[in-house]
Amino acid sequence: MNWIAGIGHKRTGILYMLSALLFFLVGGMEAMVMRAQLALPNLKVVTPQMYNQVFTMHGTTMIFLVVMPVLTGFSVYLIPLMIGASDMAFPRLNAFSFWLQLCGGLLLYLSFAAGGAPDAGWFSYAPLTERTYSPGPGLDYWALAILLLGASFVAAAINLVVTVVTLRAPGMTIKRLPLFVWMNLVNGLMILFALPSLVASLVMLLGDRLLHARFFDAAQGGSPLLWQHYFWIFGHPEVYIMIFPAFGMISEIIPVFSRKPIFGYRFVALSSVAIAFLSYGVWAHHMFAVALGRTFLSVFAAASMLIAVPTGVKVFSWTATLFGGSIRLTTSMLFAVAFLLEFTIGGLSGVAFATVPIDWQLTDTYFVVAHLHYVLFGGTVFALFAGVYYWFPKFTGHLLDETLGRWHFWLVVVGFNATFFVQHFLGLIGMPRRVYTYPDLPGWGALNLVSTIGAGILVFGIFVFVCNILVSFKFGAPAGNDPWNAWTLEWAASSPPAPGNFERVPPVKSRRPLWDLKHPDAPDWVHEGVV
Amino acid sequence: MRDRVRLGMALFLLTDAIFFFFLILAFIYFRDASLHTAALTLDLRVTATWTACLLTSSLSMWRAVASPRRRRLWLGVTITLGVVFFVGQGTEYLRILRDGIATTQGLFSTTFFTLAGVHGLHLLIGIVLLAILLMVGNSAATGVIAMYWYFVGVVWIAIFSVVYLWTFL
Repeated sequence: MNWIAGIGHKRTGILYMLSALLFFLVGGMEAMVMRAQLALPNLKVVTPQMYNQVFTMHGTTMIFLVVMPVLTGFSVYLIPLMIGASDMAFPRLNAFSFWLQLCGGLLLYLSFAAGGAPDAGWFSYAPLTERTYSPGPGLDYWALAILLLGASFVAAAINLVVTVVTLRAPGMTIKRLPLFVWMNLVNGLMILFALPSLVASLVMLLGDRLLHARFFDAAQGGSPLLWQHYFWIFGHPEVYIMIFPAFGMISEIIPVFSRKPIFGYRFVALSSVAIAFLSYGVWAHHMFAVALGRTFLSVFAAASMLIAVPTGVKVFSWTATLFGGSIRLTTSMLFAVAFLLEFTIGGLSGVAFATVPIDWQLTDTYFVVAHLHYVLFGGTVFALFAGVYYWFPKFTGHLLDETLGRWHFWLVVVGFNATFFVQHFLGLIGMPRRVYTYPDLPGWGALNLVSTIGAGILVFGIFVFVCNILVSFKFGAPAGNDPWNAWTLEWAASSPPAPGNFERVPPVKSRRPLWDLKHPDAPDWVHEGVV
Repeated sequence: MRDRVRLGMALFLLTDAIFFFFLILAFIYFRDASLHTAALTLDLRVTATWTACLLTSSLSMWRAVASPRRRRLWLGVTITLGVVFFVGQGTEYLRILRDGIATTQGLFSTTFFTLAGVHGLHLLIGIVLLAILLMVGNSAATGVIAMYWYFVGVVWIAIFSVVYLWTFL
């Protein structure tokens, strides 16, 4: 009962994470249905209609019910601790955001019972989404559920920004905020600027479907292109919204396990601001296949390439932090280092896409699927695994098992790369994404089979991960307050933190308050402003 | 605590303003195709009257914040003016629907009624908030709800300018 009625930030954070884990397993099963259907040419594991529903639900679930909620969960759990506060600015709104999010998820899945899930892909292009072409209730459920989820994420973002602005402990200036908090602050602002165009386009879509409006129906004077513009004005910042908190996790984990402060704190923080600004000027690179005109294409291609610069600055900072550090390869750190490699591959294929002719050749092929999974799985999910191994002791008071952790790590690395690396080649030889099945062309069957086997290994890795959580929650070694000898404030609280978090917040005189406590002879604040 | 709530409301209004920006942009996007119907359908004079009521209600709202002793009086005036606008414009929308020049079958009514409907919903929420404020008498919340009420007025100025003034001037 306390779990349902409670409003503490830690409990709400855990609920966010658990619901995201549940939907992660559901979304993973949907992915396995797709991989089974594509394992060999001309298979008929599911019907074509079911296949369309499954890939739509997979994308929508992973983005709106897994990645965004789990990142929100980490931030509402950790940010009050990291800034020395006792809770979020609006605890009741915080709990409300979670339950709204869960209801949105359940509403989306009710569509299966109501006569068919949405089947127009996660970006639901018009005019396919119009009542004429999608007469079933699936897309109504999709639009309404995402409207609820959007409201939930906006409420959570407002709460988060207000918390960081108003509830910092004395001494916790903006220049001393842990980078995880920095990234989430920028992220909260990005959500507030990006979600409205999604909400507006959903309102318009629902108008079309339910009230005979004609925003997106070209046959009646509307414009399908308007949907594409509005959706991607939300959709591209959304890509960064799904990775910024993960950047924040990496920026906490790599320094602690390298025993060095982050290299270029200011560059990591300010490059996020640069990315946030740029992300609003690149949406049309999702629309290069539309005839937009040469000037238009050039501007968006240049802006998209430009984003690689601040992103590269971050990768450089993390790598430079590793350089010369005394590295401890815990499971958490393994995932963080793997993140660097996998995310860079995804970043590089992203820059390739910014080149218009390459985009024309590869858009809507499996190369896109490979690219986005390298960023979202190899990037965000790897960082999340690193984050779970790092903060699980704080959440529960128990360490996750390192032996199971290694198994988890290697199975996921092998499985992930086997699944998605070959999809680059499938895209290059011309396999379109979102096709139900394919003819027996040279190479297609073999590459798809490798991908499906890889997905099987990946599932096994996730299974080990879930087992590790269950086993360690019950039998894991006691963690103590500060198992990693870390520097940010959350490690000064007990594990799990008591209600109210701190009896007394440690003094904050630098970016590493706990380092100062542990090393009164050589505190950071002596040379603050130099590094 | 007061700063916290004010900042929270300000952030919400920021994101809401962007939402309206996109709906107004959609109206402009289809403006050429719907201008003719708009000119035939809309009644500038009637809506200008109701608009004056809504703008005046921002003034009375400001008085309710500025003079705590007459708070209930000014809140009552604000609610009355809000309801007058709501009923007045609502009657206007019903007339347009009844006239049938632009029933549900046109681009003009698509963009116009989406904007008008979303603004009307905001207004209705504002009236409910003010009514609760009048009944509960929590003066601390007055300032924050006033922010929302000013916002509803400002958004209407934008809609009135783009939809009405631009069509006729």
